[in-house]
Amino acid sequence: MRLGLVGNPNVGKSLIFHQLTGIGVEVSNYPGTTVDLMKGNLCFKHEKLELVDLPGIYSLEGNSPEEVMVRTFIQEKEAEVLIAVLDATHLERNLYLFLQLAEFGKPLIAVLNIMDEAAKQGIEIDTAKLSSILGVEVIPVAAVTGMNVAEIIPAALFRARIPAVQVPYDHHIEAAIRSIQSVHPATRLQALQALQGIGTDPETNSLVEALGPEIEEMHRMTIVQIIAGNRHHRAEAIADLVSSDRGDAHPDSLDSLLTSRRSGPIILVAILLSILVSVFLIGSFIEEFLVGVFEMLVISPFSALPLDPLFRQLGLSLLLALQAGLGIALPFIFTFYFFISILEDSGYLTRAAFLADRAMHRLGMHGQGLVPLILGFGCNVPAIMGIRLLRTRRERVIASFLVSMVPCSARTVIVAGIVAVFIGLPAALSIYAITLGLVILTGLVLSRITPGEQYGMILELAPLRVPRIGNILSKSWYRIREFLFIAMPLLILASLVLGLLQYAGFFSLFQQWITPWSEAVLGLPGYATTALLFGILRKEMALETLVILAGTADLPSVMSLAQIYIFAVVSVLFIPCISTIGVLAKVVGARITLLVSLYTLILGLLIGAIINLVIV
Amino acid sequence: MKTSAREDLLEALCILSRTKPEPPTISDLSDHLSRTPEEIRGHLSTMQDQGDLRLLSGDRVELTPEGSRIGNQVAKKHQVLECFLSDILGMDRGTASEEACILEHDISDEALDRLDRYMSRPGKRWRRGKHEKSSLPTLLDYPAGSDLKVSSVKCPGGCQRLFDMGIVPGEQVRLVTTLDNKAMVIHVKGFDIAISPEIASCIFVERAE
Repeated sequence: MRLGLVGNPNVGKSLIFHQLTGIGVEVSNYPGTTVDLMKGNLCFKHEKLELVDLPGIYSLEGNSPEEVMVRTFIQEKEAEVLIAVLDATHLERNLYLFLQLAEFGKPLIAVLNIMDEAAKQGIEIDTAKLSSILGVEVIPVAAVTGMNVAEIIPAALFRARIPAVQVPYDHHIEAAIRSIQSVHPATRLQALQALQGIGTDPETNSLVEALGPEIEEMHRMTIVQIIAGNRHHRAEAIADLVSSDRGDAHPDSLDSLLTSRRSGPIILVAILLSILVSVFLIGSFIEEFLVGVFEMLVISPFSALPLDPLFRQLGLSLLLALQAGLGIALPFIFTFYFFISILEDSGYLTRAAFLADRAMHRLGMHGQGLVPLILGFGCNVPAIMGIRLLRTRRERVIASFLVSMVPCSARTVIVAGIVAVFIGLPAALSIYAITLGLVILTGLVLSRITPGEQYGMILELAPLRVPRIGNILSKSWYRIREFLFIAMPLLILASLVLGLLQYAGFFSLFQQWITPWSEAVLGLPGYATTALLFGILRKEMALETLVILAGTADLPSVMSLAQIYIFAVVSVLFIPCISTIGVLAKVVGARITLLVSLYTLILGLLIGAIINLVIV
Repeated sequence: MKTSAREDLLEALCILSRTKPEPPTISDLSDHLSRTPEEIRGHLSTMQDQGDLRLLSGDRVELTPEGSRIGNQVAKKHQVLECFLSDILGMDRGTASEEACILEHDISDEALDRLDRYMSRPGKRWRRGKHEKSSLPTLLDYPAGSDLKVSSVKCPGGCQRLFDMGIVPGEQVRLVTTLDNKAMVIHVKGFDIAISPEIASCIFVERAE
């Protein structure tokens, strides 16, 4: 038996989900989409149940990927019982979604969460009355303290009912529903969906084409707007009936400081910079330690084993891949996502998006585009996944270019590993400056030439609160999963291929061919360009390959400082790694992926060549 | 018995019988009209004699075809008037409905017919209004701290998300803060919502009293 949790964002669904299922959560994509679905199992009286945490949504009739997915999930009867989670401190808007949910006619129960906070704000809710109006059981819950959480499953199993509450729509809408039904057998829900342009039945849709414009003209509003208005009206009426005066929340002085036009942007830049610097420092420290330990405990003993050269090569490639993955994943990516999760859980990330709205408009996106750009500093793979929260294709296309150019942890490893060590910190920072400058320039140009319309940001500011460490760790883990399960396998595979190529002598062949070009254009020795090529498979592998091909880790003995600098710049800029390309193809399609790859390739070579001309 | 009382009852019966399959009861009527059941019972028996309706067992009331015709007519008048008062003159929905309750009994069929046609041809009759539309105040025209009421939302891209968040005509919003480019945070239904300037420019508002 399967149960589904449905509700607005920030109503505590995930907390309830984790309390009910404990550990062992499986995250998967809903078939045919890139929307994440959390599933967990629990046992109740020796019966195994599956609980699905659906993404937080504002409406069941919208067209964002999450909303479409939840709608399909509910319509396809993928869960026997639904658990609607409502926020007691914002009952009215939560009832809006509930009223939509009620129209689907599925058995459900309502969980009135955040009762503790409501009591603090002096809001009293008559749950018995609410239950009789809605026609389903209503359980008052405080997930934070665990109050009544144990009641949820028994109620869902034995007392779930189809809600009785119905929205009385404007009489033109009701008349349209009746006339659709009189011509063609359709449920109330199907008729309503057709009226809002999301119907699936062609015959009903064609009826609406005739009815719709007349209603819209009469009201001088779209049908969607009329229906939404009616629902809000009903939600408001119900909320008024069952709850005491809504205590008006006092304006939060911290919040006004964070979002004010004077101090807000300064605080934002300070926070982001200090996160980047901390990750750089903490990451380098832990990485050195981890790589050292791995070298000592695994690689050295392996190298000492008497093995066939082919197996030795393959085994070594595999171990090196693991070492590199470990050296990046834990120190850099995890640390980075740990900080970002703090920002997210405290509610600051939404404020950051708001503050960045102006700057992001210049780049052809809006405030929400900031989030994937920031995530990109950790690893581009989850950042590209994050592009989905931009609503138009134009914004996604622009974001896919920009995110792919953001220097991720692997590129940080190169910059930290050779530029900071051999040339100095200012040189390392100058590479960041060049990259960010190019990101901005690219954004400025793309915002002019990318076709398509742009809609602005509509973003609910999450409530400011003290983040919970458990949540932060699980979120960081959730994000790094994408690196471990999408990027890592490719990384290991790429390492093996590389090992084989090296074994087959491909390197020297390629090197002979590329050397004249390489020296002419970039001023780099042939082996350095060969190393760059393998950076496509894995960014930081460019560095390892370089060390292997140069035959020494003391690079200044074989390359000039200018060559090292050019090598770092080109490897940071050019072509995203193969894992990023894979995710790009999934999110924005093959054509854009190809364009992004070509663009970054040309950009990398061009900038490298320019620096070569200028410095040498 | 007054004509207005009769029309009100017929209208209420029409509306109530649309919502449920079975005929409405006297207590439904008294809830709907906020009158005592006794008062209603008296009127109903008079109206049964006039042939407007039939009283059934279990206190249920069923309209005759004639009663249903008049009731629907009054309901339609009410709707047109309420629509005019709220959507075009910008009155509050509730007040518009009360006002429509009074006007619906006296307005002539012709006046109503013309009003109805006038409103269903916004393109022709509203050219002047359309011209003014660009000068109607939007969220962009008010400073932070203003308490406002949404009068209409005209989003070229169909801003369903705005409607879902409760930004619908009649809703009270407070403008919490704005940035230099007029990106802003507004407070609606207990939530803070950040919107870009281009979104703010399609939300038409007026000062809330």
